[in-house]
Amino acid sequence: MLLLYLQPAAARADAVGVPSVDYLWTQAADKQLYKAAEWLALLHYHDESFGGPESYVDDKAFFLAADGGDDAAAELRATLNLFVNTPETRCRFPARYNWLSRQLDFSKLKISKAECPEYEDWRNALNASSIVLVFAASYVNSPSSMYGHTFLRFDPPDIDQSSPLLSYALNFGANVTGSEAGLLYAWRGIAGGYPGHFSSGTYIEKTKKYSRLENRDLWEYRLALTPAEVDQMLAHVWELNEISFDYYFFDENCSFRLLELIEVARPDLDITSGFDAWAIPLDTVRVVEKAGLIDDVYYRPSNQSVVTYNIGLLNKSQQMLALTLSQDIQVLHEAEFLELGESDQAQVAYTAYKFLRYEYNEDERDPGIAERSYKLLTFLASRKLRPPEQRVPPTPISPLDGHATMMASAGAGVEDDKWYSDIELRLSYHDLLDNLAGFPRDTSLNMGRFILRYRENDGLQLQRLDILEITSVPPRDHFYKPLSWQTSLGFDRQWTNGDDELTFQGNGGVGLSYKTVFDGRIVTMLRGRAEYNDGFNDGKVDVAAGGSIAYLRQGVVGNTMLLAETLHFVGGTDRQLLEIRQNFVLTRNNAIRLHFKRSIDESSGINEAGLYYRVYF
Amino acid sequence: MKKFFVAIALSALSTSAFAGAAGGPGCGWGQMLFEGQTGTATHVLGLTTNGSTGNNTFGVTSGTNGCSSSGTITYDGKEMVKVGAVMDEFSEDVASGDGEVLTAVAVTLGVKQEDRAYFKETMHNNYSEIFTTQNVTQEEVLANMWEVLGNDSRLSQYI
Repeated sequence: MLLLYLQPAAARADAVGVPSVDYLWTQAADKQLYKAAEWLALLHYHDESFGGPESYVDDKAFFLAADGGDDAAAELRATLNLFVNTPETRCRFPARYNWLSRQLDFSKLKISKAECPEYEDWRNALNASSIVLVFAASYVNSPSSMYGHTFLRFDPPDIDQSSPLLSYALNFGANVTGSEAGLLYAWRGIAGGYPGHFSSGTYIEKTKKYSRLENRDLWEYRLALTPAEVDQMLAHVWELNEISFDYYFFDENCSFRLLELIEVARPDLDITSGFDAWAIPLDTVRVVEKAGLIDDVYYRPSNQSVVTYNIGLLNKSQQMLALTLSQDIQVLHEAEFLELGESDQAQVAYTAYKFLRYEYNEDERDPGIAERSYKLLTFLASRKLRPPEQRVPPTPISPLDGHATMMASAGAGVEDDKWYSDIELRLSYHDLLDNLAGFPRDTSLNMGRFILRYRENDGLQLQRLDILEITSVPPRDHFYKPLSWQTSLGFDRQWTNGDDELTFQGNGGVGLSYKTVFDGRIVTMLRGRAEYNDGFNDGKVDVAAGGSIAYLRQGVVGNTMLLAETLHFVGGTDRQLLEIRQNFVLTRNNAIRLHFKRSIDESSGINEAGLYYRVYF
Repeated sequence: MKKFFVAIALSALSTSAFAGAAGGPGCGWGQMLFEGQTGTATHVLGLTTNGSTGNNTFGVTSGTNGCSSSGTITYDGKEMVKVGAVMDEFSEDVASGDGEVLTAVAVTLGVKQEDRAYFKETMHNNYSEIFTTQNVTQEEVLANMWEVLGNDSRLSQYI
């Protein structure tokens, strides 16, 4: 293939000294530029297990050569051809030009940088000299958002004098058009049914979306890239204008594409190759951190985090006063409010205002609420508030400092008076008892959890396989009234008519969580379950209804859960469960867990107790 | 409607009025203070796609009607933050006398570093002139702001 291009008598140049394509190509081929990391990064090449290297870009418009998607040399030659013969179109490829012009002698080409006004205007308007990788954490009561999201922000050189809100933000996401049914929409996101594009906006729009609409904390990680590296990344971003990639939720997602851009900026990095099967946004940021690319961290709390923090600055009676003030503006004139000192009045009114705005954030504009908001705001304008930096929560532990997202565990125990040993592998992510630092409280999200059990006399068996498990138990208080919910799908084992049966099950629950002693939660839920089980008396499929009550305590040194649950199946089977689980944090990525469980199947109880060592990796 | 004409008149006083007075719905000229925020209903299902409301082309030039694809507006020849889209944040910053959106507005107006504190203080002191009622719209807020800044000898250079 390659030899075809190597014409022996390549003319060096035409009459006016413009080098010929053949001449440039011979130089490029001599230097093997088509194999250079810089070139392969610009083409988004990666090694496929079958069929050799190919590009992630699925859009023909990105390539100049017909087979540019899997022949980097052909694409290089086609690019040189473009630069020599149709210089006016080369403005689409400023990054290719930047790099090639440093490798080959382009001085005689009839093109200069200034001839790409559209690109230059865009580049000058961005005025970017540094890049911030932004991680959007989960939103409350939506554990499925816990994997997070990432996008980039481009800051000007004088950012200290300017405002990051005015910076340019770049996002990679699927393009969803039309009004498709919700579940299909989610499924196509997973299965790759949508084209993905880079899109741009200002950071002020992003902060509105994440901080205010979705109430997600943002973590801003400034990247240690040189201005030249930033320049090359932006030049390449321009090449991706309106270029589409297939979007896959698990691997070729928002975060993976950003790693590719970082590799364009610094081609000797290899930060993409660890993400062949899936790319959890948090993990992609950790890879960037590990490569030494994070210079600086800034925490931007969500609106809800700010509201919660300000509530916490008040004592109990002031909190109730703030709540009633948010509902009734007359409180401003009542003795209980007027008796407070000036700064307390300001803080109570500020909290009331913030909560009121938070509470009706998503609702249609209401004249009564607008009037109350305006009166509160006008009151605040007449008072001296705490300075802005004291009205936001201090920076919590960074998500980067939490435990690793995969986990393996080994342990042993006794079940029904027989010894067993378990090994467990969990592909992702975090459960209610896992080491809490860096992760949101009251939240569990697990995908791909396998437990194999070896028992005396019984050999090896599948003990459990969770395809998906989500739990959210945010507590209710005077201000917030969230519902708790839980769902899971997978295989587990249940004692049924005296036998230990493997079942396939889906279950869900909804309920209420309240704060209780030792900063714990008491959670009650109504539960439903559908189950396939060979051991049922009639048929193999049955559904059950029931309830559960749990105590959960999450802390720095360890987490505790006490659970009682009862289920009644339509076919008559009754099942009760009592469980105590305890996790002890050893280090960030090591923990010990123990549990005691009593399962009651038709009035005969079976006890199980086990001790496990867990390693996050 | 009367308020609308007052706003037009006020802004016409300063100079050429704003090109986008009758601008497209995306410009938010009629956006009121304390507007509700919609569009979160499908957020849970949207998680797998991480789609964005951003623009799929990277252009940064202003569109027609003084309303740019990159979230800014042009008022009276000045390109600035589309305050209508962040009116809650902006009004809170003016009421409290400081904050990021107020800083961003100062930056887009070209307020020099040494005048920023004074700019914020002036905005704060004139909170009730700028946010005159709970129904004030983006265009009224800007007209009021222009009036306040125009009457200030140190800040009038910025409008």
